[in-house]
Amino acid sequence: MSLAHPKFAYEKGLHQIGNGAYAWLQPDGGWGWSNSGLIVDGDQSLVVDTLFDVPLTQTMLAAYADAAPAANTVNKIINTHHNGDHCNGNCCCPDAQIIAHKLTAEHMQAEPPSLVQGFLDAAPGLGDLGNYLTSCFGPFDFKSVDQKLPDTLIEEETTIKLGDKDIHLIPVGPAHTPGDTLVHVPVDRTVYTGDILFIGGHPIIWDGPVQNWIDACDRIIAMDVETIVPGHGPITTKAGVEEVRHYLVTMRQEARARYEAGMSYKEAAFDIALGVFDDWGDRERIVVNCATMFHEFGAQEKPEIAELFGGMAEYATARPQAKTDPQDI
Amino acid sequence: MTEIDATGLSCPMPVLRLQKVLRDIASGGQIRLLASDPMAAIDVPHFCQEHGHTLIASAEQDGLGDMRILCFEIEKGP
Repeated sequence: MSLAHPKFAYEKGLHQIGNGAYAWLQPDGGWGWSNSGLIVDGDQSLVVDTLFDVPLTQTMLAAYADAAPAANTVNKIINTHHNGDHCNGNCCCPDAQIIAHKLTAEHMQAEPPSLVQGFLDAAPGLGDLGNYLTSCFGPFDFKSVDQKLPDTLIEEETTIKLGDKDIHLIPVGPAHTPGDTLVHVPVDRTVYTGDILFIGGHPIIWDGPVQNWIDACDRIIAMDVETIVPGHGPITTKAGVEEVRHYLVTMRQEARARYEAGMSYKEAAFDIALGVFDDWGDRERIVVNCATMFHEFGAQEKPEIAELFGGMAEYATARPQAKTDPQDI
Repeated sequence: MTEIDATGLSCPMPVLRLQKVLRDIASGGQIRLLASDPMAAIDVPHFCQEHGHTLIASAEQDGLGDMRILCFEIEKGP
């Protein structure tokens, strides 16, 4: 079953949703290939998430400006969470007000672009792990990113005005990350979800608890929306949200059974049959998902980052996966 | 400066050693950490960023035989 919204092809570039709402998509939606949104009303414009590096963001902003004159100068940016593929391009809009959850701002500082560049610099000496890091992050240019942090912080549900449009900011984390925030535009019947939705790719549970993420899916399903723009993957419908919810519920159940049977998180990751989710991209993320869920179930320590990426590299090497054709998602 | 020799130890042991020593020193205190597991180049900077410590310097030097030693200097955060 295709999870893409029938009105929108999953093609790189700009997609017009209508009434001054747009999405920018980057197939195949894997590591770093994130989506963004543009909302305009009158002469005001707001961008939901920038991209992983400056060239990608500049190309997108030029397309936004071509589509809507109000986007020639971006007035506001909302970062849905702190991962660099949703905020590294903030520096391309020097005059924009940048709005995000307080925890997003804090974690953005703790995860600067130089950190990922450092991973890439170390990659040649790291064997399979290095090859994996390079395959995930090698296509991007972190050296030209001048990290620009949010200047307006929220801690609870907040409505802001863009021209006459109400924009609802709905914190739902910690789930994928601590500060996850949905951006709902009721008048456009559209929601931009950030990485609460990966469509056609395995979600990665960096934080949890998983229940928060399931609740966030329920929150989206209860909205009066027609168009759902995920953080990665094609524009989708509520059927796509149901599938992500199904993934989370199923994997929590599978992980819990193996935790109670005394397996390690890594044994569990390799043991779980992915079933209907097997053809979703980046399936090695099951390693991180099991580590996070085991910690949630009561395991003492969460592994360090090198162990997590090392585990994903091992999984990806043991179970190589052909790249998904975006049209098949 | 306190020195931790974690050469010969696999990750995540270097970071765990660092974490233990950091508990016992005051904010602003400095530590030199030596590690030979190349994965420390990922773990140590990430740990410092995540916990608010400053990675003052990192360098690589020759060790015994083919071994490369990673040398990190860390200042404990507030």
